[in-house]
Amino acid sequence: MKIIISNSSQEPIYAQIVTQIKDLILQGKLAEAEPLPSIRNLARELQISVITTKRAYDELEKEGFILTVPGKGTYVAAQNKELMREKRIKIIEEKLIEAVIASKAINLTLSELQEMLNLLYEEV
Amino acid sequence: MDTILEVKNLRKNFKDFTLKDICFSIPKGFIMGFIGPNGAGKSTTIKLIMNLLKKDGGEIKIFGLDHIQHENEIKNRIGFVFDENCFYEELTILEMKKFVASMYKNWEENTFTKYLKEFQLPPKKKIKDLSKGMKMKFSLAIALSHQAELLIMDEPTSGLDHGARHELLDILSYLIQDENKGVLFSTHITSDLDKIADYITFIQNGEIILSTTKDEILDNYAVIKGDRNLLNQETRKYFIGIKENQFGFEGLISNKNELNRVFANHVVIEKPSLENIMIHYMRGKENV
Amino acid sequence: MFNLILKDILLQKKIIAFIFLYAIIFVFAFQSSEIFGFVAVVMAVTYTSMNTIASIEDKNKADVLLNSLPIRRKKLILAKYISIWIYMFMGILSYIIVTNLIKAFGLPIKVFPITVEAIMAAIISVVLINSIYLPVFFKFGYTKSRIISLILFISIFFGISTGMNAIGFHQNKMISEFFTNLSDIQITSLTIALAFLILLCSYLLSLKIYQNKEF
Repeated sequence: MKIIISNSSQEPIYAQIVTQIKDLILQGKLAEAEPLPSIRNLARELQISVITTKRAYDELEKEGFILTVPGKGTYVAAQNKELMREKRIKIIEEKLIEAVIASKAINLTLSELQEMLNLLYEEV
Repeated sequence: MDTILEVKNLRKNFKDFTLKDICFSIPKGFIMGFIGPNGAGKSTTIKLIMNLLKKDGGEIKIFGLDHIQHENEIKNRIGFVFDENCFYEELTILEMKKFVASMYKNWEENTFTKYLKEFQLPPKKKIKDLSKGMKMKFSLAIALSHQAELLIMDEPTSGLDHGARHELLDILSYLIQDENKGVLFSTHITSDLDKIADYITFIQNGEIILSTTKDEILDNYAVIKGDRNLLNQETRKYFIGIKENQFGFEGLISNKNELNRVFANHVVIEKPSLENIMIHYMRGKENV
Repeated sequence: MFNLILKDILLQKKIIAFIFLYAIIFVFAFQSSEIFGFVAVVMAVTYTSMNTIASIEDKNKADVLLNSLPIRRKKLILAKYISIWIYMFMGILSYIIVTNLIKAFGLPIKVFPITVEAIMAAIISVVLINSIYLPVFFKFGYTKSRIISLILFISIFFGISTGMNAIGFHQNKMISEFFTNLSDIQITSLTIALAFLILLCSYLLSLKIYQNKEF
């Protein structure tokens, strides 16, 4: 499991962890029922406060991404495949909204934008 | 009992210095960094906790017990690490250990031997012949070998080189994996705490300036850098401390979100380090 | 408790040589008196030991260490009072060793056997000095009480010899009769009782002082 924290980013560290673990799960890199490190373990490895990791895990648990079994540990929660897809589509939608706003700001037309999209879809 | 150390309204009067309204608490399983400039009252507070100084008011509870009524029982469960080496320089490590070990109810010889090996401490060497780093490690070995649940460290890293400091912090982070332990780490070298602390209590001139989670501080406080013409009587009020030079200013605010309303996008925003915060609070009284 | 005292003895490894030196010096110097050589040795040994320990503890900031350990202050004080007897015993021992060595080598130095009176005189002197010194020490710490300790030592040192002469210890009929009428055992128990009484008062005073001391 790869988690990289940036100390210089404006985003609070717990949020960075939440995002990264979320992505790992959504991308399937973290499988269902896979065990996650304990909050203390994670804190020690990343050299951050336990309170931070706890906050991240609490957030992830609230959103249904992970599950804590008392006495046993924390695991990746069973993800509803459709729900996951929906979540990822939502993320894409958000990114597209950003692109649209940015385009309008410099008066890029819809067709120019679509052309860019076609090109990128082929290249990437 | 979830709080390992609780200090309420602690007060101590000296001729030219007063410690007052000191309140903070450390929950089990966490490390609290106790920071402040030299002379702020950190050592005094710790001495009061240990009953080396008599308090003039307030309450101190350790493991839920009053620190004076159950003084000895508590001291059996606390490990101390000081910067001024208070061991007998003429004795060897083993001789010193023998003496200290006989005073503790729950001394664990095996644990000590383990640390002796791990820290590579030569048992027959006289304490005066040890380097500062080794003295600190010896202190630590003793503190960790009697089932101490609370570790109180007063400037443990001063005088240590980077390697030794790193080792100490590593040991602490390993120690705190046990969620029944707690650490009070008092220092003016805040960089040690940037990584390892869970809670921060900042003391200045005998008073607590803030006591909260490190996250809350680092997520909400910010260092703002910008053009000096942005500063006027109105805007200065937002800052805790400001440093100005020819080319601009640098200031600390405690609420990042207020920033947008005041300065919009004309400034550079940076995450503060504990050192920034301490310096700006110290500076603050002069400039703002 | 044992370990507190053991620690003090260990810390004195360095001055063992001095202890014998004093024994030799005073035995040599006081050949004219039956008692005084012995008393001097015991007093000097105790004085040196107490001072050495106090100096070491001061240098090492032992106050902080000792008070961070789960030891009751009462015990720390008691240990100091008990150590007085240990050092006296060390003094007696060194006197025995030195005098026996002198005899064994047939050196031309007059040595006297230890008498009951000698022991009692030694005990009372040491007890007097330390009963005053220790409370002062507990109150003011080592550096400030060093002078007091020296003054006490010197004054009692000379005080005893002049005092003994003034009372005409050996000449005064009444006193010597009083003492010869008592058996050794009675003298011993009387002295020991007195010594303990004085020490007790001193201990209680030290207790009061040290319990509230701040570091």
